[in-house]
Amino acid sequence: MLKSLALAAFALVLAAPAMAQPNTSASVTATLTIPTILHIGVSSSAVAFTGNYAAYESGYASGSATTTVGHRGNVRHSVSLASTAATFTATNPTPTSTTDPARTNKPASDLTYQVGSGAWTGVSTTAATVVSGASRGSHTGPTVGYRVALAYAQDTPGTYTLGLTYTIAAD
Amino acid sequence: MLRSATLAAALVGALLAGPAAAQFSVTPVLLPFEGGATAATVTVRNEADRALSFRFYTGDFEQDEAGQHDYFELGTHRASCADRLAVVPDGATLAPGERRELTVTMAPGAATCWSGVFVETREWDAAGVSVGQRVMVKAYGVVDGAVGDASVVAVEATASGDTVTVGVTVDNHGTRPLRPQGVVEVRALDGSTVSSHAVEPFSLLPGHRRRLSLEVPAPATPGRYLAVPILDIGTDDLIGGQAGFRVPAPGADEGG
Repeated sequence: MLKSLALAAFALVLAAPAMAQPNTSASVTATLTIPTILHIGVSSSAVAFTGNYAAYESGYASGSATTTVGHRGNVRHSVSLASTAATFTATNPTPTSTTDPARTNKPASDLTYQVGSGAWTGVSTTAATVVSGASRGSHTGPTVGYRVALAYAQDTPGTYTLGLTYTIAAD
Repeated sequence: MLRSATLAAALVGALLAGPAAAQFSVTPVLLPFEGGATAATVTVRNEADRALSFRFYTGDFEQDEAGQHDYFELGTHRASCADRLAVVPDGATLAPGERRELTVTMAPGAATCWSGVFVETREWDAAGVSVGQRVMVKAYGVVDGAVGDASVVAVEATASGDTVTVGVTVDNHGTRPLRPQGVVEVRALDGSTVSSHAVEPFSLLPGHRRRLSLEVPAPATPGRYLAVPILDIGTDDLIGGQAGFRVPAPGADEGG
């Protein structure tokens, strides 16, 4: 109803000059179609971990960076986090040890994340919500930190690769 | 010297963690194919200050009662648009500010289906832990004659302090994906409206249930009230329900 009233007022203003020149009137219809839109931006494209003595002693290595998740949209939306695989992909160091090859079954859940100051949780291929039901608008955050669990007995030398994916979707 | 090195390292860390490493936008993000429509255009724009490499692909999604999404390979769930949904191209590298139009097609089918079109970017060949991001475009293949039918099956309201928490449970009994929206009105027992609060549109898949939890300001005056959700599901009828609650007098025990 408000929209109809506004359009009527707009049409009246347009029509006013035409009253003085009755043969030159014209009508204008303005149409605006706004589609749904979502935007996502993360502050880090990679996170490095150093498997040094201190990390093994504490049981984990802290990530070199946190991720701040920026998200915008003109619809209510959510953001989730998941790993791209259930295990890390292991690459043997050079030269490769015949007795201690890179661990091929290091679970993705050894990589844990923390949203804000929340609990540390292992990642998995099942999406975990990090932003739930965000209203339309522009949002910065949350910030997500990372750790990787390390154990002398299991985590042999090598390069370990895993993808994390933040997914934004309209509600 | 050590302090300088530490500070330099901290600065590098701060710089790495500062601006968005990658950001992009996608529009539209809801694609209902109905009334004979079989193709649509989705636009991706690189909002970063460097080139980004994208992949475009299809997959399945589900959404639970709380609204959380789960993602699967295409063809995983019973109402998947597998064999009907496609997107071209399958990838692109976009310069800063560059746009790319994707063509999404949905072949006709015998039943309503839902799946997603994913727009993803990451450092594809990176070793170590890479952080990717993606936008899911929800695609619905809606058959002719699909029925929109939903109802509010439960309403709960509890006042605590300055807030009333209103729980609304909605079931989609029909065969059409719905996007209910509306208001929650707080009414006095004489029927007058004390306040009204918008309910933003939300997805409700066929055969699915959603439970919403909304927080609205409590009436300033102690007494008994009703929380009345009224939702438009895109049909001729509105759906709704109600639940009573009590705003206690200051110092009194809180109760429903």
